[in-house]
Amino acid sequence: MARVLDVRNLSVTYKNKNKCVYAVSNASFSIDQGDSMGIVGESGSGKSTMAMALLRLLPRKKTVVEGEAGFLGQDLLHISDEQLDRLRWKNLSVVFQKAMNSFSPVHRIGDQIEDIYRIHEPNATRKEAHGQAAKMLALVNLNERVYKLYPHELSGGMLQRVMIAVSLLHEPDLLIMDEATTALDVVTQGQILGELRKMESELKTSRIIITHDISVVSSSCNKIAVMYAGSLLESGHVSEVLARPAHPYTKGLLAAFPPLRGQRVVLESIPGYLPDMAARHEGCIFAARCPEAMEKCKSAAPARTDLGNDHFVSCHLIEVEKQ
Amino acid sequence: MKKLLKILSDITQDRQFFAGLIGVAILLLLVVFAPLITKYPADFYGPDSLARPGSPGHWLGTNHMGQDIWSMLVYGTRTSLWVAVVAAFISGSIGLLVGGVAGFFGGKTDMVISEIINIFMMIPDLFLIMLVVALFGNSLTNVMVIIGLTTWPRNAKLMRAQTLSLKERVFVAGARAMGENKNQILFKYIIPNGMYPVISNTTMSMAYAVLTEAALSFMGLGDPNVISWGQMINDGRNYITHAPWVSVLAGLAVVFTVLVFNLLGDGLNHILNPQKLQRGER
Amino acid sequence: MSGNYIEIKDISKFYPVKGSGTLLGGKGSRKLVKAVNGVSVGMAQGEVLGVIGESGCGKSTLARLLTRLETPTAGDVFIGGVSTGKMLEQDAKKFYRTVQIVFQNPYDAFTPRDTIEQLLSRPLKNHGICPDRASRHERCAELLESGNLRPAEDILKRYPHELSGGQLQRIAILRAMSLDPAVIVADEPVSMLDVSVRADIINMLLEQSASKKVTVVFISHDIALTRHVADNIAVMYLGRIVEYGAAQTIIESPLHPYTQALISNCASIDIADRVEPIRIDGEPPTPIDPGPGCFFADRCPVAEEICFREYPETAARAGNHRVACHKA
Repeated sequence: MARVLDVRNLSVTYKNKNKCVYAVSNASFSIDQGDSMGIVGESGSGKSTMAMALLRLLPRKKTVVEGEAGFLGQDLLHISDEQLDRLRWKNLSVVFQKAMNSFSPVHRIGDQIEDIYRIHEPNATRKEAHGQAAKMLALVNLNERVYKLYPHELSGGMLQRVMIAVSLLHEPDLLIMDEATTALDVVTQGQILGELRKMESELKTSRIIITHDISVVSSSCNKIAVMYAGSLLESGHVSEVLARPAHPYTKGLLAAFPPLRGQRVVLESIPGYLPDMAARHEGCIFAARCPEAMEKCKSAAPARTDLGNDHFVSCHLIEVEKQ
Repeated sequence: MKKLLKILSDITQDRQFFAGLIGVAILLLLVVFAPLITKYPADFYGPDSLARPGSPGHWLGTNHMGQDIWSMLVYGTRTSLWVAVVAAFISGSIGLLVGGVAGFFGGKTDMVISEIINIFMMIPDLFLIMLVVALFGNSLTNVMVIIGLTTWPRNAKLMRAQTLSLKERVFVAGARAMGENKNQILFKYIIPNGMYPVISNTTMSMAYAVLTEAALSFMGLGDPNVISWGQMINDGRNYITHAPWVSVLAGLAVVFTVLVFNLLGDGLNHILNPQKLQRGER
Repeated sequence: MSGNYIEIKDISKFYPVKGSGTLLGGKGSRKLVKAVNGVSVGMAQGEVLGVIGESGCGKSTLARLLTRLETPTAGDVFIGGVSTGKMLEQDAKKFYRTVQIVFQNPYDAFTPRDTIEQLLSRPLKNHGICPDRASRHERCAELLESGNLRPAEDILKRYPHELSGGQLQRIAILRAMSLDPAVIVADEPVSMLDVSVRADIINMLLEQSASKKVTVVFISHDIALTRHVADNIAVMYLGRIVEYGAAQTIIESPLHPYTQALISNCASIDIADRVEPIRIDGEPPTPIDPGPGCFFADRCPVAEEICFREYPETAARAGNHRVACHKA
């Protein structure tokens, strides 16, 4: 299994005159070919910041990005702008939450797609570009007639689908979707997630889905990473982590989602508030809200423990167990 | 207390507002301490006519009637500030109310009021002012009132726009669901939240009032019983070639005051920016 | 459906489409957006009714109609046998005490200029609930304590922007409860809050309403959550209720093709629960003059000729299960 993305100790700090905000602290994870990883977290978890950092879309003056991100043999965080531009969209693409708003309202969809195609294939003929666009539109279950329409003639769901098609134009190695289906209706979201699953067999694209909704990850991803206040607390296969969550935060999060069928459970919240992201924390970042916190948790940051089968967790409780 | 400190820190952080505030402070000092800082009352006709600035006893010189320029400038500040404040107050209150009512009640009320606003805006202000002054006399009160009555439409438009967007806010729907009647909603929710652009526009309109009053006085339509910078400029016209200081110094006073109000207004716009006001809110 | 404490009868809301219709107002050419189109449903006292459906189904408009933030074009709501239309005419304040609402966006639910105490005491003052300032202050502190917002004295002095979304939504619920309503309409009450905070708010809403036997109309696009919260569920499509029944029944054995598609497309957190999503083509249309037949006919996977001709009657099934479909 080829390794597509290898992120090591990624940290992102926002700096302004008065203070620093530690948005992401030491995140490490990896994506193999064909993987679909769901990065789950609430507001302030740093999940979107992490994606933007990988794509180098954060404002250069105000942010400090540290760590490594190995992508197809190159370090995304340290290559030159020209090298990055060659990778962008061809090997690595992204769909944002309100991506549907990024279309020019005065040009037809088809023209815009061809335009985007030509950035990396400047010598492509009209027929080639059209052919590739049509192939991708079919993949997202859109009719060919969309080609001739203007953005305002399509609904939000259709536009988001077009955006996904556009992001797959060059059949990239990695696609990042940042809350891409959050603004859509249940049925549209369900269908798009189904289409994404089918696509995995046709294209070789690996996926990162960033969301706050674990049920989306559960139904469309094979791997999961759980983030809280900038730290990546647990990661592993969906079947493993959702069935046997190791970190107290993951357990708490799962208890907050009601299952669709079966017995009605008691829903539980996680008490407390997000910690101050502008302060450096000595111990585990979740200690203040953790129902199982020990003394050690408040003073020492836990190391990343390998539980086998790609399941990693950063928690003192697990370290203790392993011993 | 915390709120006051926060306001103070906001104020000092915005340079324009701070500069404007200092300028206003200077003007206010001139107004309040006028008798203490001038040697001669403004209507004292001395023996030295057209004395140069720097002459003994008159550091800014005198005009052709022997009046001390410095005294005239200082007492003229009272006139200008008075006109500015009263005119802006009239304009602001009418604009706030009319705009709020139009935006809030909508429908036919809005249609009628909007047309009235448009009509007022079509009338050339200066001509209307001149007409009123010509018809009703040129007392300072008339001047202030008519300036206020010609500038309210702009405030009304601002307030109406604010009201239209505030109407859609959740807390307004919440107030209705709580059973508050329309008047309560207009005066407790809409106006207090929407008045900020009107406040900063009002400061700008103070500058406009000063300028207009000076223009009127320059044309001889102002109140002859009060000292006015515009009047000074007009008087100094006749001997501008050999005694320019009369007109020029009065002109500079106008420029300074207008600048001060503009800085204040611009700075207020930054400070009262609703995003800043609700810092910490998502 | 008599014997219900709360009876929503044939309620409708039509909006004229701008730009349609002739200058002189000839009715023939005027197009109407039928946002809510003859909705009838009954609720027992203390029941929680879940309303689900996608965008354009009319559930948000229904919320506004129930609380009279908009006036219905037709129909009425009866509470304890009394018409709310009449109640509003005779004693508007009484109506607003009887029906309350909790909005989706807690961050905008309060005017930024008031402290929490001012926000909570204003409705008390308006409705003459407490005799004087001191007793109002007492009551406000009590309310906060009952909602676990401590220290109450400190929070009363704060402004909305100083509090978190979860705290604000709790205060919104407490404010609604402070008027002792018979019904609370909760319009997507937790969709803008973090997941880890939602459970608390939901639990609080249910506890508070259960303790005073308040009926809750719970509107949400989150079907798993609605199933958890509601006793009965009504499924809306283009302004009408297409299916109604006990929460468990609707989720486990839906009869209407739309409900079936909706449930099958729901992502579940349970990995073992893998259902093949039913495809329905196209997007939910806008309810402008929906056709003579069933509104769902043009997207329905099992539609027949009769579905395009006649709107289906609502047929009763087992228990309180009702469905409007020719094929069910």
